[in-house]
This record gives sequence, C-alpha cells and structure tokens, in this order.
Amino acid sequence: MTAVLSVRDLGVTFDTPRGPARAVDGVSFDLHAGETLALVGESGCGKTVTALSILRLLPDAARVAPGASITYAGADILKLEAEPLRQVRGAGIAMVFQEPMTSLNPVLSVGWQIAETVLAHKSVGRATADARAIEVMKLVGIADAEDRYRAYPHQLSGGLCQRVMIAMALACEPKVLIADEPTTALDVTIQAQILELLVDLKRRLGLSVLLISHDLALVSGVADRIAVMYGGHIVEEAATADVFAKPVHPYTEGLLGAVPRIDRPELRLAAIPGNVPPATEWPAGCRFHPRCAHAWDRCSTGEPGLVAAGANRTARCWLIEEPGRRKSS
Amino acid sequence: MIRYAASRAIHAFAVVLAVTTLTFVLIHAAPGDPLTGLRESAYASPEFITRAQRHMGLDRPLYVQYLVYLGNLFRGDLGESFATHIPVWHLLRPAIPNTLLLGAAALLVDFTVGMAVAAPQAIRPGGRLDRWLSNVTLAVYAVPVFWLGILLSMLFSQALGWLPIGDIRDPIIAAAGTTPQKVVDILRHLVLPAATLGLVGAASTARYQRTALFDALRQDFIRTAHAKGLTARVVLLRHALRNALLPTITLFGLSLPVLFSGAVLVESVFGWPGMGTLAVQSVMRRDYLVVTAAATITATAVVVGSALADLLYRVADPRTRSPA
Ligand SMILES: Nc1ncnc2c1ncn2[C@@H]1O[C@H](COP(=O)(O)OP(=O)(O)OP(=O)(O)O)[C@@H](O)[C@H]1O
Ligand SMILES: [Mg+2]
Repeated sequence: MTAVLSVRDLGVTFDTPRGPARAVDGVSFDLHAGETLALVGESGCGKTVTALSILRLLPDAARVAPGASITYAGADILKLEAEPLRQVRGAGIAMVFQEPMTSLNPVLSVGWQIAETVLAHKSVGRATADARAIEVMKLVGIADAEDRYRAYPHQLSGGLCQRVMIAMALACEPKVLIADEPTTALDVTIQAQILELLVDLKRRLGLSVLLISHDLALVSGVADRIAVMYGGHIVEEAATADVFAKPVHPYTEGLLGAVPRIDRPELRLAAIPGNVPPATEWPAGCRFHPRCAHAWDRCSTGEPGLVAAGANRTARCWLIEEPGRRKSS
Repeated sequence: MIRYAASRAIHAFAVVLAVTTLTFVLIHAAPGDPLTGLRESAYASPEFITRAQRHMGLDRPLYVQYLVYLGNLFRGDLGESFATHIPVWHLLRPAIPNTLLLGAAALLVDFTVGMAVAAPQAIRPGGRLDRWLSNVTLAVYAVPVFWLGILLSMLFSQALGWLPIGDIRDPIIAAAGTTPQKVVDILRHLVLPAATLGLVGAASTARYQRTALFDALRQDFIRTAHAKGLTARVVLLRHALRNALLPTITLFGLSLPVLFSGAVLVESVFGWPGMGTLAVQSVMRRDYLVVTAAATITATAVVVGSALADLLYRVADPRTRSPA
C-alpha cells in the first residue's frame, strides 16, 4: 500500500492571551491510495486544525512546529512556494468544509464558483469551464444542473450547497479529498444522502478520503481505518473493524460506549465523564488521565508515546505496557 | 418592486419639497433682502424702492410669495435673479455640469484612493504599514476641506507651478485652442479641486473600507477560495473585495450630501464656476430665487444619487433579490 499523503510530527500552536494553545501535537498518519481514513474525536481535539494544516489554510496566528512535514506527490507541502502550493490546492488535494452555506461566496453564482476552480487549474476557456461545472454538478446528483448553475447560495438548501461544495472539490479531479464534518450542519436525512454520495464518488473516482467527524457511528460504515484524536494527539489508530471489535485506548472505549447499538438497545449510553480542558492547559502525563477510569499514578506523570498495540494498530496508552492495570467493567 | 419604486419616489419628492421650503424660509428669515444695497445708496428714492419691491413681489406676505414660487416651480419656471435680472435657469445651467464634473472626479479620487489605502491595511492588520496609513488617513480626515484646498493650491500651483487654479479653463486656450488642448486644459484645472474634495472623502472611505475588507477576509468563503487554488490576487479582488464593496455602496449613497456641501467650499477656494460658487454669491446678495433653486437642484441630485446607490446595491448583492 502506498501513501498518497503522509503527515509526520505535525504540531500547531496558537498564541492566545492565556498562553500558547497546543491545538495539535505530534500527529502522524498516512493516507493510502484509495482508502478512507476517518479522523474522529470530540469538539476541540484538533481535527479541523489538522485538516487545515494539510493545505496550509491555518490563520496567521497559528505556528506549525519546525519538525513537521506533510508529504504529497514527493514534496513537503509545508515547504512549498506559493505557486506550487496553489497547484496542490484544489487540483491535488481538495477540501469540503463543515458549513456549506458560509463556505460559498454569497455574491457569486454557484456554477461560476465551480467554473473558476477549473479555470484556476486548467488552461481552458470559459465555455469549457462552464460545461465542466455543469458536468460535476450532475455527477454529485444536482437535478437541473444547467438552471442551478446560475443560482446563488442563499437560494439553495444546505444539502444542495454541500453538493455544490463537493462538486467544486471534484471539478479538477483531485487525488485526495479532505471532508471536515461534511454532514454536521445538515438535517439527519440529508446527512445520510451526502455520506452515501461521498462513498459512491470515492469508489467511482478512486479518491483517497480523509473524513473528519466527531461521530464514530457515522464513520463506521464508511471508513477503512480510524484515527481517534484526543487533546491534539492521535491516541489510537486501527482498521475500523479492529476499533469496534476491541478498542485499546480507554478514550476510544468511551466513545464506543456513546455509540447507540441497534442490536443491543438495553445497553445504556455511557458518556465519558468530565470535559476536555482548554488547549492551553493540558494536564501533565497522559492528557486523558483525569477522565480515565483506569488511570494510576504513572498516567499523571509520564506522557505515553504512540506505540504498536497489535498488528497494524497503534495507541498512546500505558495500558499497552501494563495490561494488568486494565479494570474490567 | 413597483410599490417599492413608488414609495421611493414619493419619499424623494417629499425630501426635495422640504429642502426647497426650508431654504426659501431660511433665506427670507436672514437679515437683509435683495434691496439692502439699494437702500444704502444715496441715489435711490423711497418711492423707487417701493416700486422695485412691488415689482419683485417682495411686498406680499411670505406665504403668498412661497405659493407663487411653488406654482411657478411646478411649471418649470425658476424665476429671475433679483441681482442680475437674468433668468435663474440661465445662471444655473452652465454651473450644473461643472459641479457634476467636480463631484464625479472627486468620487473617483475618493473611492480609488480609499480602496488603495484600505487593501494593504486589511491584508496585514496591525502591521507597520497599517498603523502608518491609519495615522495618515486620520490626519487627512481631521483636516478642514478648505484648509486642505489652500494647502494644495499653495504647493502645486504657487510653489511648484505644476497646475493652474481659478476658473475651469484658461481663457486663451478656450478661445483659440484645439479640442484636445481644451480637454487637457479643463482636466488640469480639475486636478486640484477634485483632489481636495476627493481626499477628504478618501480618508473616511479608507477607514470604512479597511474594516469591511478586514471582515470579508475572515469569512469562511475566503478559506474556500484559497483551498480551491485561486491566486491571492483573485481571492482578494473577486471574493473579498466584491463583498466588502457592499457596505461601501451604502456609504456612497450617504456621502453625497457631504460631497455637495464640500463642493461649496472647494469651489469657492478654487474659483470653480459651479453651483457652490453661484450659491455663495447669491446668498451674499440675498438673491432669494437663485439660492432656493440651487438648493432644490442639489436636493434632487442627492435623492437621485442615493436611489442609484440603492439600485446598485440590489444589483451587487443577489441576496436582496427574490429567491429563485
Ligand atoms: N484561531 C485560533 N486561535 C486560538 N485557538 C484556536 C484557533 N483555532 C483553533 N484553536 C484551538 O485549537 C483547538 C483545536 O481546534 P479544532 O478546530 O481543530 O477542533 P475540532 O476538533 O475541529 O473541533 P470541532 O468538532 O468543534 O470542529 C481548540 O482547542 C481550539 O480552541
Ligand atoms: Mg472542526
């Protein structure tokens, strides 16, 4: 399996009035050709910051750790000059955001917003770009694409706007699609449709997808592998089936407990006690230990590294070294 | 839409009528009248003055004068200047295009300079250039317009001799020049008054536009525009500026009255033969009808201008149109 995108030792710090906020810390992962990797975790754990780092879309206040690298097509994106970076954006790696309504420009027609993406990357005329825009609008299942071309975002529903965003992302045939909570802002029924669309497109176009979500249940049917984030760290990474069969990290376990099970409705939803501390105030040792049912003194002093936790899986937890400490529930 | 246009028109008419009435009343309430000069003259007999008063209709009660004036106005008759006995329209007609030319040129200076100053500020807020430009715009904003006019004319006309001042054209070129020479001559006369009037407006436009552009650049869709690989220039001009222009269109509508009142001062400083100069002269002479007509026309221009701004807003912002 070849990695199309490799993230290594990604760290992102924001300078805030309360001190530096370490939003993302030591994050590494590979996105392989044709796979869907899900990045899952609670609000504020650093999913969006990770995604934005990949296309260097972070706000000016963000500082990326000097040792980090993000390799795509043989080059480190973090070191690219403006023009090659621009060519990766949209044409090599495309992105879909959480809020489709505000992510589209309100004063430009949606069709033109797709067409201008084509014009930015291909030396074609306006007519060809328009035709391509209509073609991808049809591809993502927008009925009356020719008419909708002229519509403005406020005239379309959230679901349609997200389809437009997806069409825009696919217009230049990227290899990698990053979808940051693409369904969170939508109605439940529409959520399923959009997710289904992404799965279908991924298969037909051979995309590699980085799917970001706070919802483990949602990604379970879609993702090949899952990386669980907590407090700016990846705390566990494994194949989807393995994650669900036997979570290694107590946080993953907790997240699974929060997933309603249709087969066993008598199981109560076990929410994880406590709250995520702000990124300026990570506790010493393991960042999850104040909320962990298994924690012992080692967890509050030493920070565990990301280590192998079986075949093709890693986790960041002292329980891997001392499995005897795991309390049975 | 038709209802909107109709209510807009009624509103506009009411504003113009109110301005006309107010000007009429105020100028009559001011001490002195068109015959003040005559009364102080040793050669005018009291009978002559009474006759002149009756001839001008000034002996009648004010409300009668007003109604007569309005009646004439609706028939398109602006009356005759007391001071020069020239029909008011003949005095105003050459002045109107001069003022419009000055106003248009000033607006051009206003918005191009304002934008050019605001853009680098919004891109690097808090940077050294931003702070420096903020101080400069604040200083220009605080300067009285006539003072700026005198300063510019001293520098560029008297000291450097680069540009002419006074009137709108050089009498020799106007009489004997070719058409291109005449155009260039008018433009050279236009530069300093338009710059004076435009720069003061540019200072407020820049301060306003800096904020609008700053806000626009922080919207989600700007991130999308970067993410899809547009160049920084396209993101700024096509995506950020278009949205930032929306509040500026409103500002444009609001700035018209300021523009016209500024024009009065600037025209006087530079001897620009526009409505402002004419109005100032006429106020001095208590030439009632010329003053009132100038105010009526200015009010009409402001009302039409702000209606245009509204229309422009509707074209520029698709959200104001009905959903499809
Ligand atoms: N511009 C910023 N300035 C300061 N801190 C920031 C900024 N953007 C993000 N952060 C911090 O970085 C951390 C990670 O934020 P991020 O947006 O990546 O979370 P997320 O996992 O995407 O959460 P959500 O599910 O809410 O989208 C948070 O603690 C947040 O407070
Ligand atoms: Mg997020």
